[in-house]
Amino acid sequence: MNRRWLLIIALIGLAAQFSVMGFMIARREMTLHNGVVCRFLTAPVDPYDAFRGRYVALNFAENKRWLCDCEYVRGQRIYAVIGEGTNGCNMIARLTTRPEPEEIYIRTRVLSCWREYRPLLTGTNDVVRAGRSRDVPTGRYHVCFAWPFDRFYMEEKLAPEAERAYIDASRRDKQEGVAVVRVWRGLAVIEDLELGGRPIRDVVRERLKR
Amino acid sequence: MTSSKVKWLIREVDAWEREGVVDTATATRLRTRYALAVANETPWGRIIFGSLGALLVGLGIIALLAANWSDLGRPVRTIIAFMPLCTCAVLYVVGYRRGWSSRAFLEPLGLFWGLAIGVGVALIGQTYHLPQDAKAFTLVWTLLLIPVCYATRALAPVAGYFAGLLTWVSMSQLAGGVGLWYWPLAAIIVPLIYSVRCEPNAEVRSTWMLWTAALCCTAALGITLEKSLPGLWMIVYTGAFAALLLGGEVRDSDERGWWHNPLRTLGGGGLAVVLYLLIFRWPWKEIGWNYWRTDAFCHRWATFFDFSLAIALPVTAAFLLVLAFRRVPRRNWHGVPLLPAWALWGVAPFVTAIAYALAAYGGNDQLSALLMTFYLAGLGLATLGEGLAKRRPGTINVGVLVLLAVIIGRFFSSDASFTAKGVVFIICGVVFLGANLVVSRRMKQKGGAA
Repeated sequence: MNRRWLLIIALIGLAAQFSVMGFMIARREMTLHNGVVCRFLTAPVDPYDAFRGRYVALNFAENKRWLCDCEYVRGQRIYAVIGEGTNGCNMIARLTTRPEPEEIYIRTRVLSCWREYRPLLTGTNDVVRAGRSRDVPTGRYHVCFAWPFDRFYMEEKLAPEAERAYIDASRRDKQEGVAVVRVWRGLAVIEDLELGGRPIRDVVRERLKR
Repeated sequence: MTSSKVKWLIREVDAWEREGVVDTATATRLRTRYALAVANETPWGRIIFGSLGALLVGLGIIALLAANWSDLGRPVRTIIAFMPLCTCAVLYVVGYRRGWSSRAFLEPLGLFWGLAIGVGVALIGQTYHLPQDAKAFTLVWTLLLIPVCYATRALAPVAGYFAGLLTWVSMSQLAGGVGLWYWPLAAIIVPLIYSVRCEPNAEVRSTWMLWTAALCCTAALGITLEKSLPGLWMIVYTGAFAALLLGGEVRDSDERGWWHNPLRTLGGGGLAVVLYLLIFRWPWKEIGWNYWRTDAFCHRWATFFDFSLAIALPVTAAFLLVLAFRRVPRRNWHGVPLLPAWALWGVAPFVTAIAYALAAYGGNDQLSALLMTFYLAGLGLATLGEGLAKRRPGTINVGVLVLLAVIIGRFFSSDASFTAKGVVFIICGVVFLGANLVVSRRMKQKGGAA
């Protein structure tokens, strides 16, 4: 192959590589600048990623399983509309395929969807007494969806300490972990992780100094 | 020719000149010709050590960044994410301007460039706390490798590309998705492998590339099949291996070594393994339309891929069989026309299809297993015969190995007593040892390689 062609391919490739990475960064920076702040209750635990290092995995109090009136296909694009909770934190209000423009929503995908059944006692009194029943569909569906934010990366020394800090705090004075998330046009980016109203990094650094 | 062989040849030329076998002018011409060959030889030591260096630097950067320097802040980390890629860009442009086209420069650069992309994407993921999505991460990294493969024409990015695609398609299928995109994406790199194979002095590199591509595609074939119709994989796999074997025979029939003809080696080896599995009864149980798979992870529309392959691959094998058959000289044995052994191996998908029909519609798994046993034993005998006729010890050994495998496999799965099994094995062993001895003596007498 001609050397000039190789150079052209290399330059196009470099442009594509820079563009993809630039696009990933730009979308998240826009979200962090323009997004609405949402807060979700969470419990941090400390695992490890070979490429991206140590992080705290976020186990959200919010259920990933939702009960809906309509059936969704696995892998279907859906939107989780965010509502206000009772404790100053946010919660998922509903799932929809078309959110209203004024709503705050997170774009996600359906992991699985299955019919809900309830037991229906049928037959003679003897059968009912024996506890035999048959399941009938209720017309509703359990929908399991992917959270678009499930990990918070930290320095390798801080991440395990963060988990310990959370366990201590939740045991002592029932302080809760809160993930501060910016949401903009369906994209959600974690801004910070708080423990007892303070950034978890500060809490952990203080603990390490002690 | 390797440099050690060239050095030996030049020493020989010196001796010929001294002994008057060749004149001075011829000796000088020979020395000049082979000195040029040494100069053009691929510097493997530099390539391997250079690539190892690039790999270690790349892995070191990944480990350093995984430590997560949160004090640096987002803007600095963003710049760091782009730095390895910028280094590759600068190196490539400088290399281009200075005319560095040696493999010792391009191979390590290709490896480091590939790692630089992964480093960049991983660091962005770390900075913005992206969710766990190994599938998307692998796909992005793999797709961004395409220009690196073409720009450097290096082995490492091509191997990384196929390994990445295979990883992605495995994860996609495990998550219940459809992996059919593997094939158009894999096809993007095929022109590159073909063009490298046409390059002079790129035999080793192109052979490695072909091996990587062929192995990954063989593995991906099983992963991407939707498997709605149980047992169809047998026709698909025998078709694919037969096509590879015959393709290798058509494309590089002159290549003698098993390593230098990956298509033929992989096709033959794969075919032997699959056919060996089919001599047992278990693959023929519960197959056919009566056992059509209908679970939540089954994509009906994707089954067209299975059916297309089940038709296209045997047809391709038949086409290649005709093509390869027209190229070989006709041979007779006492007036009986002889078929080359690979031609018998090449009809495997059709024999498998007959056995499949017997098991699927007749419900007779015993008959299908028996048919395949006789077919594989016949292949073993044919290969052994061809090896003897052409005096090729390697081919003889393959034939013996296939025959032995059939006997051992079938006999072990039978209900015969251990005494009977033991006696039969001893007899078989003695017969083979005797046959080997006779063949070796005959070859020595006739001057063949024993």
